[in-house]
Amino acid sequence: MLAAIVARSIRIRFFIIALLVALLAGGGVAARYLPIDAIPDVSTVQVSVLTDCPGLSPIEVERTVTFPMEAALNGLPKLVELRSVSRNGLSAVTVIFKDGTDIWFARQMVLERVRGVEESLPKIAGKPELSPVSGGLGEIYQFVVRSDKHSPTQLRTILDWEIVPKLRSVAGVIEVNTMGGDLKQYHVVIDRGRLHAHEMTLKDVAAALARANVAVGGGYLDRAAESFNLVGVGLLKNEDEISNVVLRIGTDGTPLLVRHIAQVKVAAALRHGVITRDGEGEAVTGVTMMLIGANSRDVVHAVKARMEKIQSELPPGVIIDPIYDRADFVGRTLSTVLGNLVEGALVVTVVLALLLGTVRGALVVVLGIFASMSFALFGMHVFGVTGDLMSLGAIDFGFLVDGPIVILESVMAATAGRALVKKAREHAYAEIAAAVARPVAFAVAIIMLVYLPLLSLEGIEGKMFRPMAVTMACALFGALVYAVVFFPALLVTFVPPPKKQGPRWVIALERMYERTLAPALRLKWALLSASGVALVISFVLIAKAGADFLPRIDEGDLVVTFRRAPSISLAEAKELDLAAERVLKRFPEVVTTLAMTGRAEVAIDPVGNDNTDMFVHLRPKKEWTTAHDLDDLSVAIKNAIESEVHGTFVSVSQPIEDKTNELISGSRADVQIAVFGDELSELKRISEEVGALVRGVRGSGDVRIERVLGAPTIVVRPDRVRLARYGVASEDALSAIEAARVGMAVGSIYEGHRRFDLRLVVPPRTSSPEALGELFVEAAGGGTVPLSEVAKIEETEGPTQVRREALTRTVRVEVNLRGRDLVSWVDDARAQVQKQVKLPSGYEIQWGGQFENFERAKKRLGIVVPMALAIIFGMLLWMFQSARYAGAVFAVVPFALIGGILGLVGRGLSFSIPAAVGFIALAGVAVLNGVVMAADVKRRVELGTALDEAITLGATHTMRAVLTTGAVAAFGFIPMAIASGAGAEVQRPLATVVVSGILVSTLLTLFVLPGVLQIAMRGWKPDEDDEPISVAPPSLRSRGVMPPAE
Amino acid sequence: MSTNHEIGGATEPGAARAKTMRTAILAVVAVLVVGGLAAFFLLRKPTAGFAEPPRDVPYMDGKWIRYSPAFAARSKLEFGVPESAGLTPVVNVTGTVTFDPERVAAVGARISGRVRRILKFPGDPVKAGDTLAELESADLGQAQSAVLAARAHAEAANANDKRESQLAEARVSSQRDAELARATAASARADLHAAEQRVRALGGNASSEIGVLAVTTPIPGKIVESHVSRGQSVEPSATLFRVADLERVWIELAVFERELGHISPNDAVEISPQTNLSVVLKGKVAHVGDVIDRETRSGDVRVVVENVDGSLRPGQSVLAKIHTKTTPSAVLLLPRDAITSVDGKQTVFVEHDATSVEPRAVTTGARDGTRVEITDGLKAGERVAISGVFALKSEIFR
Repeated sequence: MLAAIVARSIRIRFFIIALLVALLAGGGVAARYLPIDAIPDVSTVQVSVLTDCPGLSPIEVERTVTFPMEAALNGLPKLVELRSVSRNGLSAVTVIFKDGTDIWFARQMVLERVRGVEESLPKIAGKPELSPVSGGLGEIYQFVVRSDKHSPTQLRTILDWEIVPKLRSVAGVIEVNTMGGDLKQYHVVIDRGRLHAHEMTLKDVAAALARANVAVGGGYLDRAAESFNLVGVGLLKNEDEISNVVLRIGTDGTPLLVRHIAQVKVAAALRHGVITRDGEGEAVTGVTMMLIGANSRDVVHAVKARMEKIQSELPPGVIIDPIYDRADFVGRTLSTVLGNLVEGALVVTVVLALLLGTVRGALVVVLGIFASMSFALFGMHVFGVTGDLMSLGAIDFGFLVDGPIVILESVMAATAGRALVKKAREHAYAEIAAAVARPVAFAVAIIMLVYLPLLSLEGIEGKMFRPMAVTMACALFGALVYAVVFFPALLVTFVPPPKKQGPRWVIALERMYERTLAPALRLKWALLSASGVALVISFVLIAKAGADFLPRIDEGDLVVTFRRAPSISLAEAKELDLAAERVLKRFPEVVTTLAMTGRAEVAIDPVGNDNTDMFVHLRPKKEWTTAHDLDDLSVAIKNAIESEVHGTFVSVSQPIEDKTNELISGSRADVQIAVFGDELSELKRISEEVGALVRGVRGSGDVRIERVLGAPTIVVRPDRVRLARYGVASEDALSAIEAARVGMAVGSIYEGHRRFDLRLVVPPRTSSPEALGELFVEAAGGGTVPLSEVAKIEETEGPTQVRREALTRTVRVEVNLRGRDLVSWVDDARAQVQKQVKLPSGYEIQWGGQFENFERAKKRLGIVVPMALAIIFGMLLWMFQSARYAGAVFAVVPFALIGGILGLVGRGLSFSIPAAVGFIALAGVAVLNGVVMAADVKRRVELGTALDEAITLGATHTMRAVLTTGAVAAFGFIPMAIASGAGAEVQRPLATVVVSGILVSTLLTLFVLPGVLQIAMRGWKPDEDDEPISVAPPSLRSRGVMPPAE
Repeated sequence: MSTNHEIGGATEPGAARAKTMRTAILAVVAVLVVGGLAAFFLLRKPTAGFAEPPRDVPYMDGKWIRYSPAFAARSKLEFGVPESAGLTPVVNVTGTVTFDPERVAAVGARISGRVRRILKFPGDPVKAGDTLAELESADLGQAQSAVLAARAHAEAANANDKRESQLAEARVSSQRDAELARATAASARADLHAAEQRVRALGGNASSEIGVLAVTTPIPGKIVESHVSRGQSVEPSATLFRVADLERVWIELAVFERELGHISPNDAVEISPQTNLSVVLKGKVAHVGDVIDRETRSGDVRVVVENVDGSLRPGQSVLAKIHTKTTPSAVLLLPRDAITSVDGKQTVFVEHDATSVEPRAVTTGARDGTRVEITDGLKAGERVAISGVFALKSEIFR
């Protein structure tokens, strides 16, 4: 069938060439419209419900908001996990759905349930809101607004009312979060003494202000033929107007005005966070969030264009500074990927020209890379794969040209010196190409199938590597089509037969090989066992080298996270942030820093003052002097900050990495031990016990116990008996607390379209519980009593937050390992904990973390890899129709891994999934070479050549093809192996494995495979072929097919 | 790999062939050498020469936190010995300034009349007996006229009496006439006295201008109120002026029953006007109420303040800080900021040696505004961190 296709495509070659042109053009268009990002989004499909509940403590939030919310959301279809955080004044419930669930469908379901519980929430709680539809790659553009002429309040107002609304209308932008500066409010600051002296109460003032701030509509009045709208505009406009609001008319007619008892001023809303920049002072910032699944390249460009327009419309002096720009990272990654591809393609062309002695042939082969890539791009569009480091960066174009190389090589070898033109060339080429088309097609198909196990990966690793598998499979399919359909046609059209059998040195090399083959065949057992020993040694080496589960992708910028004691004040945190920024400023690598402590006024992030995320914009890696890779720089930064800024514990991450970790449960620790139970104090005790215990286990590095308690709290508890005696309503007593700091909201002040809160504030004398007790509350009969008379006020320590997973409270102990592998450590630690920690009933310990993912992937690969091997064997059987050939080719494949392992270990890289992909590639090359060689031998044997002679001839004949495919893959990957640009971390292990592996694997194919073939064919009778092994399609046969013992 | 070298030795007839062979071998060796070198240099990890920078970070050493002198300096660590003294809890109350009743006078007229002249106005300082205003009073005028008449009568009667008694001595007239004249004179004197008494009772004196009444102040001080205008007619019941001596005022405080028990007479009190808390005046508790108001659940406390510079004004609301009786015995006291809460326990950092501290849980007792009593966990003389406490606390959370 393949022969027919080859012959036909040669016959209609001009149509085929036109088709190729169309294909390449289509590929170009597909590339233009491909969604591009730097790395795949590995976050889960999730919806967070955020409920603002000002003033409630974590326990209260949990009881009155989080719990009903969880109860309502529990049992949603496709729900995978339900977790929540209850903090001071904020409840965040996150629902995680099965991967692949439509996010809009998920939100719709969540919303329906949320509407159901809304009414039963406490009055104080705000409306529950869903988090923006944005994923791990959502934060695409961050900027700072600065000015020498404007106050922080003015800058924030400009940001909130001039910039954000315009930015939000950009297509693909779902949200712009603002933070920093001062959120403007109008405050009526009441003098307690004067309020008391005038026998007024807070309630009176609040009511008076509300009455004074109104607008009414009176319909319209007709006059003559015209109609006049009738409006009453009584809205308060500014401080003066508020000051002159009448509170009461005295018995003698003297009015009591607001200004008699209070000062009216423009003030800042109570802050929950602070932004600092470059160690110089506070800043105002906005973060642009992208709609999930949008094309970040396009959105960032649109945002930047809009920003330019906004900048031109801003008041003079106000400047927008971009801080983080995803387009940078995407651009850098893309240029690394494209650079490696182009360099690789060039190297391949040169290598081919040298080895085969035909530049035209080399060019036609390299054209196959572009044709295959066009297929890959179509596939990416069809399967919804984003173009990024994983999908495009790991393309192994060595495979893409292997098929054409083999065909080209046989054509060149067979037609050398012949003057073939037109029909003669057509027929000769068709015949030769058809002969190798079958092994080539099979080999490429096998490699394609080998990528499929990656599709079975789940979770993060699945999201990371499935796009790669899809892209590669599509590209290989393209390569197959190119080799069989397009390549022969191009060959006939553009490449004449060579004048001689390739370059002289290659011919010499062939002779040398022929001569060496005889001793190699004699020493086949020695060579085989030597290879076996080498294989065992390299397996031992790789087992010791350790494994990184996922590669850490260098984003080029850092997020330095500070953790501090939970009780820290915002002012202290700000000072420490500034100090830390000044430390960072000394690093020559750092361009700018922006530290964000706590959260914005509007609760979007369940974090407190003890959490600081500092964005650090770095210079390009080439200019680094302190260190030359991310890990070393991280250590240097951590040590420098911790040594100079007290109370600040540093961990270094990167923007996308940090956001993604936060979304997928937030722990990047190797092992995460979660204690589940009801009582916080008991959870604390158990977690501390577990923490102390695992600290002692050999191999424990950092052990971090999550602190659940430690937030200093001043608790005001109304005393019911006393309330009754004084006739004080509980609400009035507690409103005094509200007015003390955050202020009692009594209305809004409008300035044009901008709206600002109007709040009543009664500041206590000092920040002690005693001073709070002096606040007056309204009693029956118009009198007042101090709060301390009707309530108990005490300083205590409360929980900082309450985290729940699967409806149970939980506390974490996180462990990072040093010098020991995950599995044995976990077994050891688990045994000790089980033996020594007594768990009360209702308490439970779960072990998870990266370890969990690793286990899951290992389990999955444990099934899938043997299956893939079985598929390879099945395909080989199908191809050769003989277990002997198939077994021989199959038996040599493991040896191909030796070189890869040595390269990895020699370079000090650990085993990782990209390295595993490299090994897949190696195995693929080994299969291809083996198939080509064995097919040649088999053809000769079938034509009646004696076995030993057939082996020698076949090996010699295919040596050039084997050498060429090996050289192409090895040299083509060198740019990737030494790349250091953005995204190189992923490409480096892969390319290292391929480059070093191919060197060894090529030699082994050349010298060991012939021997193995000889062994496999021992005792073979020519009549065996008369009863070919019945072969079903590989998918049916894959189960139970084992490689032969020999 | 070894196989590659074996062929090196294989010989082949034909010089050209041998030459090609040698070229090929050279090529292979060259490729291997160049490739090996390239691989060595290119595949090397480019991080040689990175030395982990030094760390200066406190760490837990048993129960102590150890740190470097540099850490102590940058976190402004300072130590102090707990003070051993009595503790005076402070009660804060809002109150109102009132007059000292001994030092206030309401000045009025005793008779009705019309205001003729006003001599002193609100704010004017006055001495005791100073005239504040003059009234014209018909009653007083009548009374004064009556005195004059009575005086004339009395003088006439006296003269007559004198003459009659001389005549009687000279036996010119009868003894009876003389006695009659003496009785008449006595009667006239009594009338005069009565008239004079009446004038005095009306508040005037006989010597002043007829019908003009001087309104005078009985005490020194300041005119704080005036309710008169010229020409105004006044009744005896009206208060025309209020004179007060503000050098000493009373502060009336309503103290809630819970705190009332702590307060006793002669407790020192600091008074500040609500409008300006930086002004502080010293006073003393003069009286602690004996009853508690059923409505407000509070009792009265009276404070006497020497209002030297006149900054307190009656009616003004003030903040009073009552320093109640000190605890009888000396206790260990620490500044409030030296104590922090760790895992729900009050904790201090006790100096162990020059570069380490021990976090220690303590029990706290009474507190005033700035200091806290340590009832357990700390010995006198132990040095405790009083500054940089948060930096030390943070280390526990590392």
